Amino acid sequence: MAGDARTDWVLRVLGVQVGGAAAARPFDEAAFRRKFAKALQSWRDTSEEVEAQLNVLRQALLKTTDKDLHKIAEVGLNGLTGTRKVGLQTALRELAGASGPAVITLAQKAVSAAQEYRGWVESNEKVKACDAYPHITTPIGPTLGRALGELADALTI
Amino acid sequence: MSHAATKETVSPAEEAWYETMKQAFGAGKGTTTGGPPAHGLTDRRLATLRQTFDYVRTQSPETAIRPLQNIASELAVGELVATESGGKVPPDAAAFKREVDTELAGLKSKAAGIVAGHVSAWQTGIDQLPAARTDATPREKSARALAIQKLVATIESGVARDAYMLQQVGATSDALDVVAAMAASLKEEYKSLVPKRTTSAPPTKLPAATKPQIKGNLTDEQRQQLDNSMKATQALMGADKKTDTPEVDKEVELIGQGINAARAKEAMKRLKTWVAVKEEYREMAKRDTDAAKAFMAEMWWFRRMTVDGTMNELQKKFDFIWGSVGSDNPESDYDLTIRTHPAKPTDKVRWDYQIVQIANEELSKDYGGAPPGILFDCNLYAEAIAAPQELTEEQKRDPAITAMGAMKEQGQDVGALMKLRRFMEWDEYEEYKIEMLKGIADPEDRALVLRQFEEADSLYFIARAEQLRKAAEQNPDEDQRKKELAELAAIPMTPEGQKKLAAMAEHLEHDDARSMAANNAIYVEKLTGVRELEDQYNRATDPKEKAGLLARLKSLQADATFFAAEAYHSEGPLQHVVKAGQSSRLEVEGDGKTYTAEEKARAIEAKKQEKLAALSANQMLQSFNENLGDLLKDLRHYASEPFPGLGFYRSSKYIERLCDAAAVIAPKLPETVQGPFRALKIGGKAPADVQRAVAGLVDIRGEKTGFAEGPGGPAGSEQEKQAYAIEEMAKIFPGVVTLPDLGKVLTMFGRQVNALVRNAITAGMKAQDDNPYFPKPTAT
Repeated sequence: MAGDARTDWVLRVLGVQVGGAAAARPFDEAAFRRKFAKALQSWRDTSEEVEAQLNVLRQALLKTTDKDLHKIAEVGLNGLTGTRKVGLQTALRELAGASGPAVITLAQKAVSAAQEYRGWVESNEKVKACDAYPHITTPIGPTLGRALGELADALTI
Repeated sequence: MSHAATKETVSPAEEAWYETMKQAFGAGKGTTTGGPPAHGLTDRRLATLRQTFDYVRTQSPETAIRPLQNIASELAVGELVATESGGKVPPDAAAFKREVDTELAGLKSKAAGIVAGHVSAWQTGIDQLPAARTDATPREKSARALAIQKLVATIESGVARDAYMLQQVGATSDALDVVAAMAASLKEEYKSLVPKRTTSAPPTKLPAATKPQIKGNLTDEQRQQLDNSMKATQALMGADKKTDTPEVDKEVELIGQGINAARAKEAMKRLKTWVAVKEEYREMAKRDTDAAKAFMAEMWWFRRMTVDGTMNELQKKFDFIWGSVGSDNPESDYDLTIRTHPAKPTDKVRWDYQIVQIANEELSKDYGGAPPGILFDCNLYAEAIAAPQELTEEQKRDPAITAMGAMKEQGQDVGALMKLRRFMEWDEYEEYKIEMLKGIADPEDRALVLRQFEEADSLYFIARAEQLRKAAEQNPDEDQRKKELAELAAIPMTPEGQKKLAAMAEHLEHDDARSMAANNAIYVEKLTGVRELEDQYNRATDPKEKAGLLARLKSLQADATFFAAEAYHSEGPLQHVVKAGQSSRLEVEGDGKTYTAEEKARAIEAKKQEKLAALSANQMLQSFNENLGDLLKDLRHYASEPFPGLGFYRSSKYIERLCDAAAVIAPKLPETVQGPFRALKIGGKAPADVQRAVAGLVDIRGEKTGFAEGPGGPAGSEQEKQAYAIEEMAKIFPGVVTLPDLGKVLTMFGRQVNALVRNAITAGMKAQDDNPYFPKPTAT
């Protein structure tokens, strides 16, 4: 295996950063866990705010007699964040349950999931449509985007 | 277009927004849900979770909570995946999830009461300990020590589980803290009760020739001839070569002249087991040390003469290779392996296991049919190895062939894990698995490792059921036989049934002779299947078919080996400990060259390293796990001793071997992974340091060193050995006071090694159906 590929393999599989300043700096798992717990709480708070906003949108759609809008309210909004949110939630759950070197790998995975989710939520047409609601108080795209950025920063080792 | 709001007036802005939403969500195009639901819970996985759940419910709450949470968590993720993608989990999965959540909630609500009950029981146990009098006799002190040791082990593990349970429900218990403090205080008292050394000098070197001196009518020249003859035979055995039958005849004849064989045979008929022979020796030693030593030496030589003589006659008849690479130490067993199938087969004897069967019968026939493992502490193994497959470079790249290779690796891994499972309680194994899996980052790798652990657990239960059935079938009392078979047939296929089966199997294990006779019979039956498959393998010409047969062959072999007494279940430890370790010594000793002690040590080490270099990381992990399993077996075996010294030095061999396995694994991992692996510690110490530190214990175990007998005879020397072992262990691991303490430290190391190594090597164990065949769908 060539040097770069090997370094990449080690980082990906074992979560160990080889070479450079990161290698010289020992990983403080306890400190990371504290930071992680705080970031997780903040992310949950934001998720709840967004969920409340989605409920407002759901009610707005359900007050019509249009079947398509009802379907969006009942099904479409539930699946709005699609596999990205699932990917992030799973990564966060795995990270919470891990210990040792796996924490570093799983933190990397969670950061990637958060970044990917952020990129998507800030550019998705469905999210933009939701945010176009005339009485919006918590715009979904920017709110989630900012929270996801903060989460990714907090999880970066 | 109006959306006909019914309750409120809709503004033009809202009207426009409705339209935007319909366009964005593709209303009317059937795409509003954003794709099909997915939940990742396959029927197979759900069935496994259900099975585990059913079993877990029969366990005590503090044991059940961890696996229950794991199941709940997996189901919760499945549900999350489903709902987030706009779907639902199947109704049966949803019902199952509700059931698990209810069970968990019920358990949590009862947690405080459960803990209070435990604390009360433990406090009663403390109150009922034998009295601690200052003028207690040694016997009374031993009784108190044994009771403390058992109670403290129960309280410590119980407190850990209860504390975990309380932590999960956000509660604390002052009473639990109090009882934990009481256990700590008892442990301090236990430390003061353990025997102290009566001398201060280190153990002294014992004569290198560990086999007992042969007495009787042999001249010095004949003794030398016997020694040379045995060395020559051992060298051939060490090199996996055929022994020279005239040479073995000469050895048997000389032993016959050197001992009173008729007297020894009578003693064997009277005593019936090797354990009883050793017991007789100890009893005699209390009265007359010299007479006891002479008795033990005669029995040792008689065993050698009987076993070697029998094997030599069979070799003349059927022409095969057999051997032993064990130690000459009088305390050691004398295990033999049949390494090839007969070169002169008959209609009835074609395979190695049939020779094992005949040898077992021959060795037992004069002693009422007791298996040789019981009679002489001599176990026979059928180990003829199928010729390795030679593959071209193109064939090596063939996905079907690599998949078969992966399956072979999986089979061997499961075999090694069965050894761990065998010597762990169910909850210990479950906790080991859950905690180890946390260290594996890749979900696919984690799923595969989980499957390996679960398969080992299932196979373990199946094996236990087979043992019980065979033992019942072999019962000579017809009424009892029928009763036992009926009892087995009535065991329901339920978790309660599984628990009953485990209890019955444990009971059977206490009856050494019955248990061994059943195991021997199953071993031979299983090997019949293995050899039939080997026949197919030898006849096959298609490389893919050959690779497939080899994979099945290796798995079946591991399955059979479960029933071989005290055997390794997988290839790894056989290659590491036996072939590289013990055989290298015998090969060098018998190569006809003259060495100084240093040169000999170097030559043995070079040969060993050459063999170790050829082994894979997976094989070394098998060796690590099996030696950990053997260590746990020893710790369990010696748990009934009041003090831990005996268990410390008896198990030291396995500590040394598992440290060695770890050292050999390190360079086999990708170069850059070696740092984290080498940073792993056992109880705060580097494995290499632990390996060096236990060498003194391994030496007294192997009787390379020891203590002068003094007025107490061998018993006094034994007491000093145990006190030395306790003192040494306290230096190596200051926190280790009891055998369970030692088990905890090494089990923790085992978890870390498995997590790290499996992160690196699991890819090589993935068969085609473990790797995604279709690329993952791109997220929408």
